[in-house]
Amino acid sequence: MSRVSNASFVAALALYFFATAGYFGYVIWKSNRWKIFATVALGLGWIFELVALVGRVTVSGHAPWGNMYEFTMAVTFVMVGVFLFVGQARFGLAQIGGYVAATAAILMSVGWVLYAEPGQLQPALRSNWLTFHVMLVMVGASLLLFGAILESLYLVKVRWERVHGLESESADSADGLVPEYQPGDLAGDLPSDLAGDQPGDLADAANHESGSTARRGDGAVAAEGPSGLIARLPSAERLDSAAYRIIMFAFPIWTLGVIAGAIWGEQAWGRYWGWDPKETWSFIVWVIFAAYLHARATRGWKGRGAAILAVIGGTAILINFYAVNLWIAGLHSYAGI
Amino acid sequence: MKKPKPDAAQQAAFEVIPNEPPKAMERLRGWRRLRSMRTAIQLLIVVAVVSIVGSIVPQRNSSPAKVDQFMSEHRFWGEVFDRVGLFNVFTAWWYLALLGFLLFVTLACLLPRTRAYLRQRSQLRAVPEEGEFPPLSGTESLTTALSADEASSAIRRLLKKRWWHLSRVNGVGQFLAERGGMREGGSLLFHWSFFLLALAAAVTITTKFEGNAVIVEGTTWVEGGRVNFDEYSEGRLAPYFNTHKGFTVALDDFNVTYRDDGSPADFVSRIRVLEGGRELVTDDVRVNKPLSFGGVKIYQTGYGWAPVVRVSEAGRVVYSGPVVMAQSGENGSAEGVVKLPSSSGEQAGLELRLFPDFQLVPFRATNPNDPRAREPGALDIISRSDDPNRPLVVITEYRGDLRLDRPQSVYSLDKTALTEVGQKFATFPSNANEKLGSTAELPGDISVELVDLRRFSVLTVKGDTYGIPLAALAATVAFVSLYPALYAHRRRLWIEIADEGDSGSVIRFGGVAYQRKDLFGPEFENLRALIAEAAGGTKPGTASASEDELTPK
Repeated sequence: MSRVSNASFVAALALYFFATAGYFGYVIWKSNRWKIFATVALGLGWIFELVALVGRVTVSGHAPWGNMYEFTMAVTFVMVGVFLFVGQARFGLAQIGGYVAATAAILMSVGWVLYAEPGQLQPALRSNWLTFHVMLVMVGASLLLFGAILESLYLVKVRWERVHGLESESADSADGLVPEYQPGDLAGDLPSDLAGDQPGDLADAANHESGSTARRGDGAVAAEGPSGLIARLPSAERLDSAAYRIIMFAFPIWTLGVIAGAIWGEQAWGRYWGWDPKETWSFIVWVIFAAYLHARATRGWKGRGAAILAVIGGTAILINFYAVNLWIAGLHSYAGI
Repeated sequence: MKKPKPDAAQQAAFEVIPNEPPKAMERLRGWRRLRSMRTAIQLLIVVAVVSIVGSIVPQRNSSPAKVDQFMSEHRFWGEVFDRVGLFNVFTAWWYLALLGFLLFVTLACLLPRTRAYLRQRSQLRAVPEEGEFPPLSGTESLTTALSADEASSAIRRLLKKRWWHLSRVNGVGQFLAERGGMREGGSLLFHWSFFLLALAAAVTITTKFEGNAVIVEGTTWVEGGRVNFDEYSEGRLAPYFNTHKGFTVALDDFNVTYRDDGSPADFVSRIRVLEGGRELVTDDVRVNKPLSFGGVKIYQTGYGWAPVVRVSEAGRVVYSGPVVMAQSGENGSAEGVVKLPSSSGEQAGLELRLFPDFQLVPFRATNPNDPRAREPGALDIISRSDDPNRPLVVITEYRGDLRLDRPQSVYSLDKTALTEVGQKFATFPSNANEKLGSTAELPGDISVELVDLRRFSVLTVKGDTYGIPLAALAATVAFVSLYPALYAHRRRLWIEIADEGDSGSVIRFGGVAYQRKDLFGPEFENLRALIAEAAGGTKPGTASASEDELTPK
């Protein structure tokens, strides 16, 4: 069973790499065949990861967060699932699939390096509150990380839109930044460009692309390579609004996760908060995303400022998971590698 | 063209500015800046950054050994860090001041918002004044054959069924309806809950007491006061809020179950709590399952070995009882001592090292100067695990001065003025055989008899009657209020029903959404249809039904 689980994990990892290539292929060549290939690869990989998770749970007899390998598996499983069923199916964000699949594949590669044989939990880790706590934190972390990826893409895209004078009306301009390049002669084309902003297809990206080709004719705009990929991202506004919705959904989950952790701490050690490094970092993550939610409603912070906060929050989640587990000891450190 | 702008109007809710006379404006500017969202965001970022420091620099409360190591490795910086409070970031005055300032800024923001919110709620319960109503001509209107009263009650019934809060109707047939007020209410509650949380933390810190009870299997312990505890600490107000009850804890049984690899799978204390000879509770205490009674909680914290021995000198029993041992870590053994200051001649000290699951292995010197390193075939004793399959006790006798006039450890001997005079092995009666007995004869006519292998249990006893319920309440309020704060969206309707005598009445209404305007368009359309139906389905009047045209003055 353990071997089945490990083999499925590797298969899922390989499929995620294929999906990464597929999604980028879709973005570059705009062919629906690539999209179908990528979606099938990601979906199959997701099913393999499910098999890996079930196998692991069967062997170890506890929820899949006894060590970093198991936790990585659970986090990427939730993240890819959310992308497939919410991001792609509901919000029509297939263009960002490459970034999500790549993130999952990278995290899982690191997880594979940190592989640990299935083992039993020590007494302090056997508690229903702990199971509940880790489950919430895991789901919350996956979603917040997903939101952070979207916001980082937003930052790239919003800059691109500004450079190409395609700023959408809701983009943040209150911070006083002037677009660095604004071709006056193309101003008339802008509305039709934005009109193509429909979920689920590449119409807007194609329009943007043709726009930038025209400009390239003027010899005014930068290189094709990166801006080609960036051009095909969903519009900055859609990235931002999807990220906001996901983070808004994840924030209470993270909050409850921290509360459940405090309850467990009270039962296991007799104190509900002790500023242990893991606790401190979950507090830091919470504070940063709280700042993000406030920033979303504040002039001068909405848009770029808020997005930067979300990206910092996503980084804090990764630090909380990797740096704290591997280098900083604490009461949580016995979860170990 | 409509684009989803889910939160464009949110900031309106956060920037409630009271109508102050212009004279006070100068003073107000600083005040307003203080409670602006920008300040709050900046403070949150500062809190996050400062907290990082506390997770990187070792902290006294979570890893004291690392602090000592740092202090010895970097003398100067250690001293500086200590002075500034970097080893106790989360209790340092500047950290608490920072959190205090964040709370103050929150308070500065919350007070006017709460006042405005309460005013708005009471406005909704009152009779609206005619002058406060925005002009509704040019908004949605329809005529009905019903009389004004009939139409009014039909519409009010309809809205009430759909969870709208309604004001009363004034003399000219006007009333207000509102939904989603819990966005602001939830947001306010959420922020207020942090004051409750701060209070809970303060209560816990100032009123709790906490200490460890070390109880050997089959013995009792009395919760009398700090002298009976190990590692006791209490808040300044603890004697007033969490008094020592003086109950007795009897450890009837202590059980450890081991896995195949020798690591503990579970450990359980079976305890009886007695007060004045009367039994209060009998229960198992284990990790993650504390015992709670009368405002006190008992946690399973740790355990160790406490073999029962009988020491006699020249046939006379000089010590009989358990020897509480510390885990020495050396080859997996535990270590304890028996001090015999009244021994005939020089003072005597016995050092007992217990190997619960012993095995002889070839000696491996950690120190090259160790003489045994050159000895061929030298053996060493190790314990394979904590599971007592083959227990062995190495008893070493020392003679000389125990130096009992100085502070002493109960787990070890001060060997400065002692010399080793003999060493013997022994085991417990159940494991004894012809090679290894349960009694060791040592120089000076001292004999040590191993009676029974028992354990002690470390139970943490904590009194925190008020802090925990307060914290639980704060956390519940915070979580429950977070959902409406994020997801509810407030919208308001103004409705005016004018009596037109015999021809019935005219219904005029308009509305506004304060958040999620994208959702309000369809909702308003739907309400319009429902109102038309409820009022008797007559022709709609003027066309434009836009929420944008009607904003409250």
